[in-house]
Amino acid sequence: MQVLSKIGCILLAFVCCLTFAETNPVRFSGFGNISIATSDSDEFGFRHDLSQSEGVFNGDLNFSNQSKIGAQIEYQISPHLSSVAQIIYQDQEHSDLEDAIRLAFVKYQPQSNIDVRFGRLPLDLFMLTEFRDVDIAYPWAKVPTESYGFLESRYLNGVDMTYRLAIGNSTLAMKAFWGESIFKIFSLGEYTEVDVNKQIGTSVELSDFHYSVSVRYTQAELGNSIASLNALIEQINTLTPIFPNATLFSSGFSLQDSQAEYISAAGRYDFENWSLYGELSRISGDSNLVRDLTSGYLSPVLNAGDWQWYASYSFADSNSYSLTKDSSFNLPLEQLPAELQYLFGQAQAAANFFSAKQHTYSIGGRWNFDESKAFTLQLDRTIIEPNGSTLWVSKQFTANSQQENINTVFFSVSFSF
Amino acid sequence: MNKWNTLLILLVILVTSFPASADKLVVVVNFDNPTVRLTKSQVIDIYMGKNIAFPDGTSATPVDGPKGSKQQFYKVLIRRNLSQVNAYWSRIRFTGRATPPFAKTENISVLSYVENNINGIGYLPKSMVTNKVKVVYEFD
Repeated sequence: MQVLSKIGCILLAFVCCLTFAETNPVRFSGFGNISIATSDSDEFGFRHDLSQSEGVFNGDLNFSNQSKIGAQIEYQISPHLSSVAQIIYQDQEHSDLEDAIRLAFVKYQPQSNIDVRFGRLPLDLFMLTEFRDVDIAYPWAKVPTESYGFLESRYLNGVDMTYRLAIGNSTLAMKAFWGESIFKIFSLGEYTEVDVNKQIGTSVELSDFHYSVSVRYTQAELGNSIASLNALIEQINTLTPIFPNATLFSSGFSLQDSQAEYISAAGRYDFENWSLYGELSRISGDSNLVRDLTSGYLSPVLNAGDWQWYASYSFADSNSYSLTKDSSFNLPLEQLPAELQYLFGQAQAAANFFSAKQHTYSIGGRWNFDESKAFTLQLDRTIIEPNGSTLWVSKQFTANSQQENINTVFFSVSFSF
Repeated sequence: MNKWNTLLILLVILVTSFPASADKLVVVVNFDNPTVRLTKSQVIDIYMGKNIAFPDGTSATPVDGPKGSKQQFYKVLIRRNLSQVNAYWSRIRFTGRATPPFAKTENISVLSYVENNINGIGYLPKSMVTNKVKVVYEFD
């Protein structure tokens, strides 16, 4: 039924576009990015988010990591009704046509300050999530990985409603959304798709053209566990005779029916020739697998004619999971047989999968050589704390045991049409 | 001969400086549109997709002019160049929030559009204003 409703939404939006194409204004547009990335690490490969299985290692010149092209069709069906469909092609494993359709919704606007949208919508978790794939829209070569590397979901199948209120020269926009989505992760050499059965969120943004401040809150209910951990959970459950808390303990490693929360406070301010961007965010959950993660970034940008020069600092920090601090684990670990110590060691490692600890200093420049085209060059230096390398692809499928310093360079041409 | 050269230079200066004052941009709507005046903030709301409507709530259809006028318009309206305006619209458009103004390649096309559409709004050199449109905002 859910699949049918998804397909229905997509078809409805496309049919609306096509049916009225001959008698109503239809507008086509698009955007894209051609990007090259290289790095100096033999062990940890750069990736933009957890879904990417291919990392950029020392000596690589990677074209596919961030390159993409998108096309959009907008249709004004009547003064109060419009429709948008968007498709993005990106070279990525485990991606099909349904994933490529990023927007497919119908918008009803009873008044100029109220929008109600139904269908496939952009997911508004943090400040940049809605347009993170539109590289021409932001000054950097990529969105800060520390804040956005964990947010793989690109869309929401559901409904949102926005109400805008004029306050002096500013606009207060309040949005609420509800729906379902999925996220995909590549970890420990395996690829997993997790259903987000219910996602409810809200955002409030006060802005005019020169500034914006916003807060966002989203609650998500996850629908299935990570398949590669099911065997581990089953093994732990067989230990009930010696470990009465086994079921309670193992349930902490399942994502089934667990909750996750996303909170963000963000802002942008344009001075005469400077702009300042910043965001502080937090992800938390009630499963052992969703570690409480705090992340953020601050980036000043100098606008000098057709050039933009910028620097940024971004960080991600989370508490590591420790068996000894888990109240449901009440066994004397050191006294257990070696095979059980190994088993619980695996459980601890799995619980730390989402435990990122790193920070990045970036500098870069962007040349807007045309109204809608730009070259961007960015240099990143990332410091990964021990056991904090989740956001990277590891050749050994293990976390780092000591601090790693990695330099990454990005060069891109972004455009819109 | 030098006298003629001097006169020619003065003539060129006169000819090129006169349109500069006459070509001051103004924002116009269709003559039958009930809107009498817009504030700068309302023009920004309409052109930047925040509230694409006239003060009485009627939806507006903004149009952009040719590149020269467009550069001048956004520079005086929001102090931003066209690549910054395009980056802004990329955030708005590709998240499905709003669509940017329709683009016209000549000022005469902007005039014609506004003259023939009661919901149209455009910007023009003041010298091009006709009795089929009315000025609702003038830049200082």
